[in-house]
Amino acid sequence: MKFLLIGQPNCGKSTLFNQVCGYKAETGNFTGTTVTFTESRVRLKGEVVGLVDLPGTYTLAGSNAAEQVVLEYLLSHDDYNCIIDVVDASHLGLHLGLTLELLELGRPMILALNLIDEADHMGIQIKVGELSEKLGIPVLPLIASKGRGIRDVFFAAYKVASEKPNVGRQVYRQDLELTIAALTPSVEDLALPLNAEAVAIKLLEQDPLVTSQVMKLRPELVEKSEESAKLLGGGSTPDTQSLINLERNTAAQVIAKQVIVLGMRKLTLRDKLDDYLLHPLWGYFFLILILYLFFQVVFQFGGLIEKPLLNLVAGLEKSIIGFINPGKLLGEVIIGLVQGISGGLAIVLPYLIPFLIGLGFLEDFGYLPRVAFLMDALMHRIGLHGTAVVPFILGFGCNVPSVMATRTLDNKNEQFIAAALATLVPCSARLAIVFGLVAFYLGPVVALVIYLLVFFVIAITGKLLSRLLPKDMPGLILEMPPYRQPSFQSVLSKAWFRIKEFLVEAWPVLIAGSIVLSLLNAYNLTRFINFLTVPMTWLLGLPTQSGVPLIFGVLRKELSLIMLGQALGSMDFKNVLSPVQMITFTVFVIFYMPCLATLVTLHKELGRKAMWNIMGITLVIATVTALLARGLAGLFY
Amino acid sequence: MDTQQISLLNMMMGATAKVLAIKSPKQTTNKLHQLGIRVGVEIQLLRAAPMDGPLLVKVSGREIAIGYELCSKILVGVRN
Repeated sequence: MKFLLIGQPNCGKSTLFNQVCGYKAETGNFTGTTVTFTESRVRLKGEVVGLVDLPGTYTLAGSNAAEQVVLEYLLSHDDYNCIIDVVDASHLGLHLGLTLELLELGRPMILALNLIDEADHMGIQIKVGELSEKLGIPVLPLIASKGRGIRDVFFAAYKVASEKPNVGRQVYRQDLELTIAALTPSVEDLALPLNAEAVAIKLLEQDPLVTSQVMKLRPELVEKSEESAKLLGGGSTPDTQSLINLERNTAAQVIAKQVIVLGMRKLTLRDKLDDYLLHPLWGYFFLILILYLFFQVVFQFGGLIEKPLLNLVAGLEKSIIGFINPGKLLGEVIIGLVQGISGGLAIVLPYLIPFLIGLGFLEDFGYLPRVAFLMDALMHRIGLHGTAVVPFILGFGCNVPSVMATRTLDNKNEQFIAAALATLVPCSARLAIVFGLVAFYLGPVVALVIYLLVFFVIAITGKLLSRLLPKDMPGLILEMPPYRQPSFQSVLSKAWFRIKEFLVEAWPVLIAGSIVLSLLNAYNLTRFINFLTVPMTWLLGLPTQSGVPLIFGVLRKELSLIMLGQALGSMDFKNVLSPVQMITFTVFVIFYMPCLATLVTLHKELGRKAMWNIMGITLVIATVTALLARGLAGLFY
Repeated sequence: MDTQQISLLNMMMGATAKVLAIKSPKQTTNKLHQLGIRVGVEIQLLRAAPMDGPLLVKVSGREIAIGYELCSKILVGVRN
């Protein structure tokens, strides 16, 4: 009995051979042209089996010396009982090409899947049974370097050699198959050790070795095959060899893809971490978990300092007024001023600062690009890139940092869309309204429905805007940095840098608006404003008095609920608002007009025109969805 | 030894190949160049995000995420 060891260079075939030679009885070197093959004998089940180690080759073509040795051997020997094809499991797609070519020989054959340990390290798991089924030959896992699986390989080879099962090749392209089928019968009776189909294919490939052999026996067949090759290649000098090789390699890649299960590479800490954080399934689980923890920490911290902070400010307000005892006008201005300052503080201290610090940590740690990687496909559906996901996440806390974060997008139109959509994300202030009004009076399910509506509206708006603003989306190109331990100093200085912008740009506007509001209150001008907003409040079916809370909710959205209570004369909203009105009001407040701080940031980041456009867009969206919500809610209440 | 030209999308996970052509618009190509993705360099496919998400490739020790669409415009040579 005689086995042939065939495989591509570096598949570990020689390692296998050397391992086996531990049992060797005798080795002999046979010199080929320039490259040698080695023959050895192994004792297997009481039988002495010849083992021939052929040089590593990529194909069975005569394009280099090593390849010629293999083909020459196959053309001159008919006495082998089994081919042991050794492949590198970590590069299965590349190595299977030769396997498919060997299958064309129709000889008993087994596949030794070597280096499975290395494949495992690369996260490549091969479904051995499936691969065996697809190839029609036994497939044996092997770690030749550690001597694992060698016995099984040889036992399988022995079994195949004794049983001589039928071995078939893969089916190729139709025109190729037809040509092979047409040529095969005429080479049937050639006295070559290769089977007829293999000879036909080699003739079509115009392989020099096979062609010269056939030339000696039946020269007219060479002519015939040349004609077939021309037809197949569609040109005068067709490169049928590449064509057929391409066919084999494509089939090899297809098979490899089907039998490979990608798991986790076992390399560095980075790889280990990425295996979880970028995992097609777990990656999303961790994304949600990390964001949940992030928001938890921010809100817990914010809630902890917000109450005492507001109490402090209220006390300050009283004592200031008591101390200087101003006239009516000045008193109102001071109240407005203090409320504006406290409003800014109430945004900045409890939420913005922890938010930006937390963001800085995630950023320096290197997690944000990973989020972009995971979310790119989803963001594409709404016309954005994965990189635009960061503004979205931030938007749930506060729209100000979220608009700031759109700066990283290098396409102007994309930045506009991202910013417009980010302002639709219900920030913590709007969360307070959803919870305080809808969830409290109508139940959490209704609040959930409103949230779903928000996501739906954002997706639709994204789609529409990306249609309206044609931009060539070059596609995501983003370096995935290694994980780093964030430094406190860099995180703090980055947070301070961002907060400073807010303090300088947005806070003054907030204070000015607050003063105007208190003056309006003092001089009873609210009636006038309510009169101006009647068309809107009438359209939405809201009480006329909700005009002022809506207009001045722009200052700080969570205030619009308190203002609404003041305007309606009761904080117990179920007495003054119908369920439909609660829903309509909430939906409108979520979408209409970004708050003043956000508007200022929009102005700074994207310019005046973009700011006005976003104001317009959000007003339209708010009106449409609020009307829709009013209609839908009317069906239930 | 011939090479077969396929796009990044058709590369085997974990495989390494040589970049043969980049058929994206000039600006995009420049950006790729900056990150070391140019014709002739070896590129390794590390990961893919689900739902036609981006691919993560490694070029000279640097890991870069490339959007799905753009990947189809980067052609690599696989050894036959």
